[in-house]
Amino acid sequence: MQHSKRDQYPDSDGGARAGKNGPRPLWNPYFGGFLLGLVLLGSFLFLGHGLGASGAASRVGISALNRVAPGHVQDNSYFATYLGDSGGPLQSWIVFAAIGVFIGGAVSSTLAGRRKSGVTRGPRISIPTRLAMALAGGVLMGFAARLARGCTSGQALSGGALMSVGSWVFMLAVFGGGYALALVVRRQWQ
Amino acid sequence: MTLFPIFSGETVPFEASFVPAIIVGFLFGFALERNGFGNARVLAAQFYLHNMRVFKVMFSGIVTAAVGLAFFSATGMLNMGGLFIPETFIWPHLTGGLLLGAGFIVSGYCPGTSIVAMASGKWDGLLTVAGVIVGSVIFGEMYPLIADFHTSSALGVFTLHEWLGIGLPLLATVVAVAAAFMFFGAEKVEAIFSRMMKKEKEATWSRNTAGLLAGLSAAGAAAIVVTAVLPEQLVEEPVPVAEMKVLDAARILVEEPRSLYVVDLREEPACSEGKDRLPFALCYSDIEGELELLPSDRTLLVYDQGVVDAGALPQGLNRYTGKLARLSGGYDAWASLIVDKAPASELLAALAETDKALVSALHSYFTGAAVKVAPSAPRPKVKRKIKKGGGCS
Repeated sequence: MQHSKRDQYPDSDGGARAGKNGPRPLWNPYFGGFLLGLVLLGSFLFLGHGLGASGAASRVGISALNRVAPGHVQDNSYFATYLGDSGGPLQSWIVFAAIGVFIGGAVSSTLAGRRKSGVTRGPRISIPTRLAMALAGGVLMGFAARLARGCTSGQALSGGALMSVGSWVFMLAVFGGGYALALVVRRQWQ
Repeated sequence: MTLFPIFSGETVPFEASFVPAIIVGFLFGFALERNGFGNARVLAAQFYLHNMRVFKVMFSGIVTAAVGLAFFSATGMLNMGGLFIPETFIWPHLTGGLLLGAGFIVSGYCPGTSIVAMASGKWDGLLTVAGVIVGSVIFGEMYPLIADFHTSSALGVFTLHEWLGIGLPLLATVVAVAAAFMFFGAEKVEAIFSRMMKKEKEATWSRNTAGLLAGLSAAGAAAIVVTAVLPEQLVEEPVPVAEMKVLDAARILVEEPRSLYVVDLREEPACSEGKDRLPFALCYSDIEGELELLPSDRTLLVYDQGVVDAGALPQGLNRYTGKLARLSGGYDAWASLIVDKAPASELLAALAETDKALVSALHSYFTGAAVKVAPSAPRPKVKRKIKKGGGCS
């Protein structure tokens, strides 16, 4: 069976039926979610906290800023809380968890035959526009994650499993925000 | 027996935590990728309703972890008090969630999955990661303007089961059963929207899936049964208690005795005999029934004759709503350092010069001619707390 270029990636609906010569199929989402839940549970039991991602990005940013303008970082009451006692903003479990996420994602996508340089986009959007959207969405999420003290990993998933009220409010709001804007940006995906 | 958490969320030493953090991160990244979350189109499909992988994976994961937490804490193996639970700030969480959801559909990723996309070679993933970094810094730069909002509507650590007044096992089971029904509904919604968009629906529902969800619900139900059957002490959380050194306790008793309640855990007559006890001490048996009524603005300092394990403290202390501390070494340590004329030499040797002077000063303060017997304190004023509505405390 010949695969067109697009079929090399699991499409929004094509991952589970990828062929013999294509990338490995995705996990069934229920079992995949179950395994993800076991990882989360393991994190709670061994490390005493859930998973996280955006906190690492924030620490990387503050660390870079601290190199360029240390005085500025110390003067800012928010940045200053990240400076810590000794090791600086990067000396935190969440930075190393993010490194682990990167390695895990790289290993999994390589083994599955999905690791390939490219830009994920819908059929009707140019590459520069898509990249600009990716950057803009990222900036928005970086701001939002600091406002909510966490992102989909740290708040929705981890706080959700702990049944924190704020985490559930956050999670429902994420879906709300996504659905509210979905029609506006549908050209990007459909 | 409490085994977990191995490291406690707030006190985890960095040197010990970074290797396990990499391992947990690796498994997280691997699982995200295998679930298709390194691909923006898979993620974005959630918001066009023809493929709801995001919802399915997230909720299966939440239910699994919640049921697991309920099970381990019901059997007494996990001390939930040792976990880091995010505090609730209603308005920041609501607006942050809305903005993050908007950023999600624009970029196609969330912060965690963008790292996986970057690792899979996707340039859009890389740019999202860069954006998240920039966005966090922008937040920090704007912090003076938004600090008030960021800390508004703070409810502290506030959980749904606390709010509803039910246990975690029951709530986790209810969520598991509800998730099973919502998954079933999601499959129907997917079928409708796939038809409308002329896309092939991904087949994800099977007898195995139903079995998995039933198994999770059953595990939750088992946690409820365990909670009901096990004796209360096993199920209750150990008392979270800090350690207070004898010298610190003595200093506080001199300088601001009204910042402490001193509670003697020994049986009657030992705890009430005027001399061989801490000043201001009350017998635990006397105040046991009123602990939850004591104003919570003081630290409740408990001591026994000797060293006492945090796990061996009476469960009833949990009813005190303020901070708890135990005296290092118990009364024996107090007696040998403060009361005895010549403190044990090995105790003194461990002290700095200034502390030695303090010990001798404290010794004369607490045993000196002016005060032969440790003063006994009036019973603390007991104020009945008025329950606020809504259960948020």
